[in-house]
Amino acid sequence: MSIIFLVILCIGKSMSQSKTVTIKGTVLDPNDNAIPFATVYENNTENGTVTDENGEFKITVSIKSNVELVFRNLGFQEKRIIIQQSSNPGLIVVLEPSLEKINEVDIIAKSTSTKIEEKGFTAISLPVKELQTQSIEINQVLSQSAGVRVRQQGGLGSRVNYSINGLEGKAVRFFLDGIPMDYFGSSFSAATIPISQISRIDIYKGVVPVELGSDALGGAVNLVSKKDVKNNLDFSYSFGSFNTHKVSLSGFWRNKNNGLTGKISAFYNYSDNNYKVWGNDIKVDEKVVNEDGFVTYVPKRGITVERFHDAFESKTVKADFGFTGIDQADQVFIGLLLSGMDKEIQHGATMFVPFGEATYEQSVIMPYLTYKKNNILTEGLSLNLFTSYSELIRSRVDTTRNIYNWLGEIEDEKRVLGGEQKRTLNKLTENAFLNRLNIGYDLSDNHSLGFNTVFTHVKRTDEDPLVTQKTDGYYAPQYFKKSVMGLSLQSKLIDQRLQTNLFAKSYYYWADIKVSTTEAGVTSYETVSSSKNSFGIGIASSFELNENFLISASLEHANRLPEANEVLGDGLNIISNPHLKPESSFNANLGFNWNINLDSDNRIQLVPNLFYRNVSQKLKMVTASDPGLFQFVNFDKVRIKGIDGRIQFFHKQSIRLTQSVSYLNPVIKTDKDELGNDNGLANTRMSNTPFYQANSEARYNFKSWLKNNAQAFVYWRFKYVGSFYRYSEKFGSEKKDQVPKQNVNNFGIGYTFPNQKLSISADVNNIFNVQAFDNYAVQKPGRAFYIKINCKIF
Amino acid sequence: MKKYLSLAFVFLFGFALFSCSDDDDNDSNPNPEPEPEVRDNFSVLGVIEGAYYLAQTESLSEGTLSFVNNGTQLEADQAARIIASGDYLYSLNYGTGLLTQLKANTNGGYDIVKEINAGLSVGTNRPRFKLASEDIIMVYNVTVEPIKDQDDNIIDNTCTLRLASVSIPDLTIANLNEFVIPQSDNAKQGGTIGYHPMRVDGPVISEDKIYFGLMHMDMSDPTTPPPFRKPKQTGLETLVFDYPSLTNGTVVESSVASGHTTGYRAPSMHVDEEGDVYQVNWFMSGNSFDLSAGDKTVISRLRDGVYDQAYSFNVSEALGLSTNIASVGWFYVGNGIGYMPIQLEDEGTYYNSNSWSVAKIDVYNKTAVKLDVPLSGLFSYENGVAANEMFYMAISPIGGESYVYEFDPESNDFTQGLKLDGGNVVVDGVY
Repeated sequence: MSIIFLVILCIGKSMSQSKTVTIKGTVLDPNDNAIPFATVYENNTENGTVTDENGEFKITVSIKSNVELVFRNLGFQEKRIIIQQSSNPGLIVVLEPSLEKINEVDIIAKSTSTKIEEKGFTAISLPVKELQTQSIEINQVLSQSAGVRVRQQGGLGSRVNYSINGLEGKAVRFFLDGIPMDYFGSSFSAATIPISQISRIDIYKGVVPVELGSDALGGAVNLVSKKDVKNNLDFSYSFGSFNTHKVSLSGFWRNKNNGLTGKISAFYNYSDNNYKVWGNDIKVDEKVVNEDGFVTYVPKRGITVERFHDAFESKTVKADFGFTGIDQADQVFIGLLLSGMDKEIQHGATMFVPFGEATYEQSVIMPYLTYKKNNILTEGLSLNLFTSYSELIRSRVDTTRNIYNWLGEIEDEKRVLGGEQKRTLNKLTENAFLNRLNIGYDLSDNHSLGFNTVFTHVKRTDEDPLVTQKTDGYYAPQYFKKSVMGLSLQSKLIDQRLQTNLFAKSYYYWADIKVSTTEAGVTSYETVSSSKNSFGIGIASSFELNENFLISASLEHANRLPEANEVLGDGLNIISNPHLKPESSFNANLGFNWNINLDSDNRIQLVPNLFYRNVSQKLKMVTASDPGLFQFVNFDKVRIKGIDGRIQFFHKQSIRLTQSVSYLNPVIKTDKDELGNDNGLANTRMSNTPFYQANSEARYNFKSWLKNNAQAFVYWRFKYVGSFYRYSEKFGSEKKDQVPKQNVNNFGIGYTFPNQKLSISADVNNIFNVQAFDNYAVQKPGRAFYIKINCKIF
Repeated sequence: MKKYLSLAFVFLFGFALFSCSDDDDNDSNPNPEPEPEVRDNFSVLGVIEGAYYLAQTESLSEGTLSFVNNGTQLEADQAARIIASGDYLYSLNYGTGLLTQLKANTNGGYDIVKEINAGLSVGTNRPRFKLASEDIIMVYNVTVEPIKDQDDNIIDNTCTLRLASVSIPDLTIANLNEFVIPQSDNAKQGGTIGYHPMRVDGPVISEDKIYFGLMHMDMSDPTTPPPFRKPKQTGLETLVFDYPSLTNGTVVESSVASGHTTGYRAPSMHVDEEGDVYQVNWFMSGNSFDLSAGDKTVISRLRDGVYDQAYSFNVSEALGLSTNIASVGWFYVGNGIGYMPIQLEDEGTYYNSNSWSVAKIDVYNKTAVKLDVPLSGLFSYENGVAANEMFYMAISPIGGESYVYEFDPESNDFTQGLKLDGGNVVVDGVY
């Protein structure tokens, strides 16, 4: 028995002079999550469309007495709605999951992913609804995905390095609802945003659509926030090992009469991160006193200690206020993001030398404006604008003379000069203006154009009271401007079975760079302006062989513009380089999505993908004119070939087994070094790169457990990462630094009470308390327990 | 049980033999002609892309040594530096301050014998070190801190040296000292803040003195912030302590030439068989180590804790080249003979270019000959070996093939010896 919710929301009205009317609306699941790519068609006609990634659709029908619209999506019950001539053409359609089929969430997983792939992009779309009740971080979800590698420098709030199909670091760009997150600060990032505040994570591998306007060389991660349409207020609190507390609050309110809308999301994260670390990398220096009273410090290795200076705190409030569903706009908001974090620094790149006082702090304040309107000016033209101005301040404090050991004690010896990592009171201020404009235009039913532009203007100033000899020249602000534009043509051909997305992107940067020159012993500074541009092109296409088999292929000549730091230098040891060109990469993917229905209860899905990356002009830090100075240059070439994939087995709504694997072979192709020497590393595997990874998961969902409508789940996850060398595999034979293999098991259970308002879950991470390393000599947390309560207040 | 008995026997017997031979030496061989030492085990330090490897070779004069699947990786947070003395090698992990004693094993690599945290003793994770005599490694750290007046103006700087004497092979701290390095009138540059001592290096011990080379930083121009501040020096200065007490620290000076006296990685100072200290200045023009124009690379002599003003050996002049030559250190073989990496100004920049050659120098006769080895980059070159009546050092021309070269101190001859990987496998030293 299906129930049809019909809520008139007035998402814009557009009557043409002829006898047609455009009907718009949003398709949702019962939990108010948008259902992207659901089919919408006029009954008994060939007039139809699909919902976009936000579940929104529009369809033009000719006015008859009554028009019957049909809404369908795999895993949901079909819905029919009669549109009367007098109806306000703005709809919210809620589809109910089909009961006899498999779990609702799995269906969304399948359908969303498949639909994004139908556009030809090699992408994973992870619905996170089922995870929202768990004590899980976005980073953990990402690291479970085939081809994605998340390398953490420790516990909550530690530095994270992401890679997609072997391209890492700045090659991977993050977005929130399509907005580049580069200037949001690390306090508001994939490492801190609570999973309960997003509905979906889209991961694009190698080839990135123009809507995500950035210079993503290796891929992009788009966090899609919840699409609210009903007033609500959700709260969650998670607590557990290492004094970890995470609180999240999100709410949505709308006045139905005038469209006045308010949104808020806020969170607070805290952890002592005082987990135990052990092994050969951990030592204390024991005092051995000789007959003359002189002390020799003899390291005792292999001890077990608790991290003592690693606490992390982050807090964020993000509020939007404006109107939705009014004539002038589908959405118009002014918003404010306030975010901050505080981090103790336990050690440097490895655990060998512990710190006890160094800290890092960051805050960001960002007012912004969003405007979204479909059918603006003319039918089929849509506009989506985001403009923000942010001030981001990063401060480092590292002045102590105390020397700490791994027991958290202060040694008798003092540092002659303060500073555990580097003596500093550096404060860096970055003022960034960001403007993103996205325009879409439907040329016809089967062809649409997209245009996207992202422009950023960054002003950077530095100060450090410990650097006592300042000059105006040195400390004057530096400027960095960057523009990425893209144009795409989406087409559906051969009965919509062949979909193609052809696109071109252009990249520019401008920088005002301070350079120093010394002539006859006198150093002078001048500002040099520099600009570079590059051009990229790509195609993503898919072909539906039959309803269960989809082939997709994509190619892109991708670019990454140099970062401000790479062009401008860091003001300390890295000097500027006005001649930097963008990194570029030729990326190719080929894969298929095969759905095998074993019988009415059992299904297997197989999604393998072959990939190829050929990177050139890769930036490399080399020693400059003096041995103590470094500079970025365009230099390295890397070729990556690999395969990743996922196989899933579904039984009814209850059982899901997932196995994903990825293997990559990144080979250095640079045959000369920057000086002209033969490169001894040429044609060897890139060092410090994990190349084999496997994830397994078994999950059981109970429907109506103990009580009607109550839900429960239990899962077990296993992650394996193969061991790899920190440096070249080719050189040396003894005591080579090696990151050992990882075998980590996680387990969790959860229960949602019958009223669907309250749920509670328990998670155990790293059940067997094994030593886990993402990076050389940096141990990650051992066994940890978490409990989380989710509550829908209204 | 039998095994232990025989071991004990050998031990006792050996001890007795050793005791006897000591006497024998004194009695029956009062003036021994030293047998030429025949070494058949050497070590080579290779660096590639930030990773440091140490490998063994039986010969430096022939054969091939590759680090491909060969050698022990050294712990190197930022860098690893090596000292060889007696049966051991000592590796300093620049970044953690750990000093590790290594012994060659039978697989071509090295086993760890013992390690100490030498950096902690001198209050830094990044100390510098040098073998000062066969049984002492000196470990040290200098810091420069501004002294401000009430208005926050910098009026002076305090330059503090902390130094530790590490006794080897037992690897224990034998002495520890902290010393505020005085600024000479010459370095004060006429009353302004002037040039301040910012580094000591290259210590040697002769009789009851220990000598440290000094490097100064130009602090006088407040418009020049780091990292653009330049090391500068007028005159020559050396820090001298009584040894082994490490007391009575004084800075001695000479006006024969200008330059830092620390050496870079190649040592600046050597003690000859007479106990005299010969020191090269660090003179280099046209770069951030620029010194007063028209100055020169010279060898000076220190004796009894002061400069011997009567001795000066102008190496540039002795070479008879039309352009200046620059140097940062040299290697001593014996009988006044040494080998000095020299930079030829018109061949390129001092760093990252093939602008360096090698000169054979004679500090007794004040003669120097430029040897016709391939031009290479030797600014960072660290160590050579005097053994088997020859001198060996690695030469790795940028874009060319790398070899250890064998130099004959009796003549100006040299030959290509052990072939190395070449390319960007940088060999910083042989030991």
